[in-house]
Amino acid sequence: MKRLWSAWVTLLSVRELGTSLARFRIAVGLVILYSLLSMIAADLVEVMWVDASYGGLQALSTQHWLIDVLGGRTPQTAWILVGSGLVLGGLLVLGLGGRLTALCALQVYYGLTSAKSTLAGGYDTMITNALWILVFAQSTATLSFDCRRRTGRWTSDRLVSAWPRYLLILQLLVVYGTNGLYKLSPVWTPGGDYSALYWVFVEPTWRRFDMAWTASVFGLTQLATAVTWWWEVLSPLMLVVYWARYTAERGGRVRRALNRFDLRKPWALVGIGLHLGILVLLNVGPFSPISLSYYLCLIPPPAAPKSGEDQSTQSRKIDPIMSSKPT
Amino acid sequence: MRPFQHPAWPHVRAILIGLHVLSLVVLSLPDAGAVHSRRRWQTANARADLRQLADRLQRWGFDTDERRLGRTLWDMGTAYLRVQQPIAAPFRWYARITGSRQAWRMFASPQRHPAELHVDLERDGRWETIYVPHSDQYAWNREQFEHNRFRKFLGRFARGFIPEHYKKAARWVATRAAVEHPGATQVRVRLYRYDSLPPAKVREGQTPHGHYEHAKVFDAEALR
Repeated sequence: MKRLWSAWVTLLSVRELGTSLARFRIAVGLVILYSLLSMIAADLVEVMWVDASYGGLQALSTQHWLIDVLGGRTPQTAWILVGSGLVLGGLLVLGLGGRLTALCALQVYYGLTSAKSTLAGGYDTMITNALWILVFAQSTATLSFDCRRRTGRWTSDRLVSAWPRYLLILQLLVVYGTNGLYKLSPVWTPGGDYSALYWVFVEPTWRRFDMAWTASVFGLTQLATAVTWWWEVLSPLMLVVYWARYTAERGGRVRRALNRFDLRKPWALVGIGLHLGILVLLNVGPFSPISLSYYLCLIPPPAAPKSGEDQSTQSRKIDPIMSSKPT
Repeated sequence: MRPFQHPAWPHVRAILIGLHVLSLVVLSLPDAGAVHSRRRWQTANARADLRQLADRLQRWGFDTDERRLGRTLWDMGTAYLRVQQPIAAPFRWYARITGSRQAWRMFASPQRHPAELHVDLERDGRWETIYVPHSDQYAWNREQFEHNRFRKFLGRFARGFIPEHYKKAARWVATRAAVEHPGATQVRVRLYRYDSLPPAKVREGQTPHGHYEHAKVFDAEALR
């Protein structure tokens, strides 16, 4: 038990260059801008985020503290939050304001999208989850205005905690794993006809355009359904792959077999293909962009140079879990 | 000494991160809304799933049918929630405050009995259609209706009909239609429900035929 705890503490003490987290921060900022701008473009701000008593579509929740402070779900509140969200999304992209920007962006975006569960999507939760982790990540250590102000350069060798990136990867694996578990309908699972994606494609809610043509490539949609389901259900096993890489020096037949090929790459390729497919064929808003943003965390940052900017106070370790080769 | 340089800090941090991981895992497991929603269980989709599942189990040699399987699953859900709910309870407030909620059931049971929102106007004593999803001919207000949030919201009426939500939405749609069409005397908002066709029937060239339900007719003048 003591050894396990020590391994856990050591894992969470790993530091690395901030490049991956910086890329993730920029991507999340862009997704927030897209999400809010698409609402403005469709003239939906005062429809979805304003209470029915002020002309909106539905009766909305006022539980979030910001809504209370701003005086309820009025048009004025909605526009203040959308305007702030745009500014904060921009600041995230630029990397200005460090963790405070992420915290404020979280409050504003959560304030907006917690209006009513039937007007929100899984992508909103993925965005707020991302922002919550960014509150704890030093994501503006590089590729940011903060870095420019601090060092006079756009990039920096400053080491940051790697655990926020690990949590984001874990979040991705949990999303897929539990998504697979929820898909117990006979149209998804073995023994059924694997027709799920065909039904998704022909449903008016999701399809971008007429998808009746998928009936003539039904076999392909069955294959895609089977691949999707198995890939999602087995995703949590990627933790075993990561563990095998982390403990590669211990040897053993299973560990060596798992490390012979970099299984993270085919796993990520299937996921990227899945999300690009969704992006092209289905209208699920920012779902694919925010999901793909998480994939940026799968790309390990470059190894830190020998003389980093601020390595005096922390032990400098190369990330052994996510580096491109097992150590 | 700064708090984050204290020798105990890595351990405190490890505990806090461990709790977050626990919250992430516990809250991502199916909750009462997914397991025990009578409204969801009664949808045509869920009934079809149950029927197919019972057929499959019978093929595999299990002595069951749709009704018995439904009861067994419901009882299993009750037992599961008895364990899940107390475990999840302490993490809920954390997720609610931080926005780190976990509920992932995207495309869990694809809709095979969709319901589309159709909007009609009465002008000079004759009804005319102004909105049908994905139609270039009846495309009034499509920028709003076909935004992903609106589509998703409307799609939920086929998934688990909530009368209050529909009533409010229908009134909002009718008000907008009445204001934008000054010559209209009445506005009608309806759901067009049909069964999606299996691939073989689509290949034969058949198109789905459905029926209207939940029609709401509004006096346009009263809405303006």
